[in-house]
Amino acid sequence: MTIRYRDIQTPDVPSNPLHNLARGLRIGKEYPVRNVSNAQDTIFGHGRRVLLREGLKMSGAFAVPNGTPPGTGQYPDQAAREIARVKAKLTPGHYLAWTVLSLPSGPTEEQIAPFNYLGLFGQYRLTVTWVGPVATVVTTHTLEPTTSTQTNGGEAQAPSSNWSKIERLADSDVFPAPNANFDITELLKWSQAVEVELLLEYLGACRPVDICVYERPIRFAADTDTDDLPTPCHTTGGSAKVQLSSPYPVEQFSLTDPSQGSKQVLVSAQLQMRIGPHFGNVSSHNEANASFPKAPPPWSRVAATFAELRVPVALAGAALANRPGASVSSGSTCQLVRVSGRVEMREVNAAVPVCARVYAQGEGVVRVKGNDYSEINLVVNSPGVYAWVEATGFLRCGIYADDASWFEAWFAATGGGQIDVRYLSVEYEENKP
Amino acid sequence: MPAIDRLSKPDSRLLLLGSIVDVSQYRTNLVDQGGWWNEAASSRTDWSIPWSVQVDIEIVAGNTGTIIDRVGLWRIDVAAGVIRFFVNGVQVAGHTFADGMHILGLSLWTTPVGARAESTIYNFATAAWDIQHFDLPGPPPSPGATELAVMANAGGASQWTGDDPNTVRVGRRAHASTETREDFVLEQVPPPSTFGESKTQALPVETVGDQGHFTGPAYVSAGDATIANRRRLRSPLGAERAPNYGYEFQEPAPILEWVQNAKGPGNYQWHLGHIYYRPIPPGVQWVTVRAFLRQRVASGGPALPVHWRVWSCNALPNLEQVVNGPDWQPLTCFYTPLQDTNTDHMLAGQLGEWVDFGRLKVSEDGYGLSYFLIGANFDDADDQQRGAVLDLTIDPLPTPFGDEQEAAP
Repeated sequence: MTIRYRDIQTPDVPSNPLHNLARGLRIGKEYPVRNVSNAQDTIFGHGRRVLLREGLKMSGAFAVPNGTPPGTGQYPDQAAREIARVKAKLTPGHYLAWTVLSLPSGPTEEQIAPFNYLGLFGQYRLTVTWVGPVATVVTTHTLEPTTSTQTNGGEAQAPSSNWSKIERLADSDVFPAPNANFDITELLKWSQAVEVELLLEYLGACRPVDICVYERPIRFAADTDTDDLPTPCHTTGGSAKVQLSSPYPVEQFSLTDPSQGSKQVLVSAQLQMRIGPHFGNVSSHNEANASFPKAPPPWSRVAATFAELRVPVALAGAALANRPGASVSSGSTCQLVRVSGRVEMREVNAAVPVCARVYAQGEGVVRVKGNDYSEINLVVNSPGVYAWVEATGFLRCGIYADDASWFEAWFAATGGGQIDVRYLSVEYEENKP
Repeated sequence: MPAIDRLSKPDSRLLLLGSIVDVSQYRTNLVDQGGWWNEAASSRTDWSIPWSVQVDIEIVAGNTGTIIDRVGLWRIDVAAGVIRFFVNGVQVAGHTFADGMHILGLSLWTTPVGARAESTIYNFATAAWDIQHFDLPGPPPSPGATELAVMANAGGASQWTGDDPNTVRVGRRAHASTETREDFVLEQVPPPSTFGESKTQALPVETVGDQGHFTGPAYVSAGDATIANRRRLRSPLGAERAPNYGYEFQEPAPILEWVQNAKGPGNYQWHLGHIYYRPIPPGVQWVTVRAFLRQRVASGGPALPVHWRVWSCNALPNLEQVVNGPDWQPLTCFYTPLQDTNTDHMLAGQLGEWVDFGRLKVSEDGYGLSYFLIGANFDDADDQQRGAVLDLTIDPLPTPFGDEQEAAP
C-alpha cells in the first residue's frame, strides 16, 4: 500500500496568476503550469459547505418560556428532542465542524404532573452517521451553553440585554474517529465516497439563536497501489504503469516530467463533474411553537393538489418571482458544460444537477421546483414510517452567481392518503464522467 | 455550396473538414443539412437584426470574391487587397490585411434612430485587430431573400478564389418578447453531443516556454478549469426561511431585550431571530444578498417606506468577549446600501416581494466565519408600519484570487 495524501486545510492560492495560462493567445511559460498543479491539488481546500442550519429561524420567541415559574408543565425535560436531519455526500477530504449561538439555558421539569423541577439544563447534540466505502460509524458531539442566572431561569430583561448574553459555542473537530485527521490509514477510509446523516437534537431547555453545521477540509488521501483506488494523475512518468488517473489530485506535478497535460485536463474535467455546492436544508421544526415533542410536527397534506411545503398560505397564481424560495444562485458556478455551457440558454438560464432528499412518511409527492418547467418529483410511499426518499434531476439557475434564482418545494398526497414531511435538503449531484 | 434557410435558427454554425465536438447550446435539435448545421426550420426567426456573423478563413494577397452574402442586404468580400463590408449595397467598412488566418466579424444592432454596425478583423499571423464602427446608411436591412450564401456566386457577387473557411457562425439574437420559453424546455433528456467535420482550428497546438516545457492546450484547458473549479464548492451561506411569517419588525420596537441598535448609519433595529453565523469559503470577499420582505400597515393606513439593510460583522456588538482574549477583535461591520419596501403587501393580497441588496463585503472573525444580520429602519414616526423577513439568501461571489479578474465565471 502506498498512501499519498495532501493537506487541504489551507488552500494554496498561487502567487503567480493562472490567467497567463488560461486566457490563451499567449506564449506558454513554466510557472503557470506549476501553478495549475498547485492550485488543482488544493481545490478541495475551498470547501466550507453549510450542510445544516437551525435556530430561531426568524422567529420572535423561543419554545422555552421566559421567566415562567417551573412546575407548571411548560418546560421540557432533559431527554433528547429531534430537531433536524440532513443527509449529504461529503466533499472528498472533508470532515465537519459546527457552531451554536445560544442564550443561557432555562429550567427543566418532569413531563407528568406535578412537573417536578429537574434543574437548569440545556445541551445541543449532533449525531453523525458516517457511511464510508469500508466502514460505517456513528459519532456523537455535544455543545452545552451556560445556564441562566435570571429569575426562574429566564432571559435577560434589560433593553438589548439578550444580545450581550449570546454564547458562541463551536466544535471544529467533528471527525469519524479521534485520530482521523492525522492517522493516514484512518484518513484513507474517509477521504472519498463518504455519506453522512446528521441528526440535531436539543436536550433540556435550549434557547438556540443560530446553529450551523458545515464541512471542514482536512486532508485527502489515496492509495496509489490498489486498482480500486487508481493512481493519482501526477505520476512521474517513469513508471510503465498505465492506469486511469484518479478523479482527485493528491500530489503536485513533478517538473521533471511535464508531459502530463492531458491527464491534468482529465482531472480538471472530473472535478468539474464531481464537486459542487450544498443548496440548503429545511426542517419542519418551528422554534416559536411552545411545545416539546420528541420530533418536530411535520408539514402534512391530505389533498391531492400541490401546495407549497413551508408557508401555509395560498399562493396559487403568484409568479415564482413573487414567492419566497431557497437560492440556487450558487448553481451558476457549477454548471456542467455538457448540459449548460458557461454562457448558455440565451444568457438567461443554466441548469445544475442536484440530488433532492426528503424525510417523509405516508403517500404523496414532494416536488422541488426551480421554475414551472424545472422540477424534481420525489415519490413518497412509506405508510407509517419516516424514511429518506431521494431523487436526482436538474434545477434551473442563473448564468452568474449574482443572478437571482430560487427553488421551492411543494407537496401533495396521493392514493387518498396523507403525506407528512419533516426534512428536505438539496445538494449538487455528483456526475461521474 | 449549401445555404442556411432564412427560417433557420440564427445560431447555426457551419462546420467543415475535420472532427469537432459541439458542446454549445447550439447543438440543440441540430440537423445535419449537407455540411451545414442548423435547426430545423421554424417560423420564429428571420435573418433580421440584431445578429452577428463570424467567419474563420485564410486570406492571402490575390484572393478576391464574396466570402459571405446575405443576398442584396449585406456582404463581406475581398477586392483589391481590401476586406470590404457592405450593407444595403453600400460599402461601410474596408480593412487592409496581411496574409494569414483571419476572423472576420460583422454585427448589427438597432438604435433609436436606425441601426449601427461594427466590423472586426483579427489576423492570427500578426495578432492584429482592426475594428470599425459605423452607422448604417439608411434603415436597417429587412428580411427578403431566403438564403445566407457563403462563397457563392449569388446576387451578382463574384466567386471567392481563396480557401474554404473553417467555420461560419451566425450568432445569437435577442429573444422576441413573445418567446417565453427556452429551447431547453423542450428537451426531455439532454441531447447527445453531435459530431461534424471541420478544418484544423486556427488555434495554437503547442507553445514552448523558456525552459523547454510543453505547455499546450491541455494546460490552457486545465488552468481555465481550475479557476472555475475553485468556485464549485461555494454554497449558499444563507438559505434562511421563516417557518411561518416570522418575527415582525415594528415601530417602536416592543421587545427590547431581543432588539439591538444596529451599527452604522440610521436607526436600524437588529433582532435576535436574524443572526446567521456562517463559514466563509477561502477567497470569498463578497456575497450577494436577497431577501423576501413583507410589509403591512397595522392601522390600515397608507404604506410608508421601510428601509432595510444587511450587515456582515466579525463579531456581535454585545457578544461578551474577553478583550485581547483569543476571541477578541475590534468590531468591523460592512453593510449594503439601504433598500426600501413601500407596499402594504397584506392589503395588496401579496405575500411580499424580493428585494435585491446587491453585493456585501464580508467581515470575517478569527475563525473564518461571519455574522450576517438584516435590520429594519422606520423613520416615518407613524408607528404603524410593520416589516417581516420571510426569506434571506446569501450567496458567495467568485471575486478575485488575483487571477480571477472577472466578476463571474
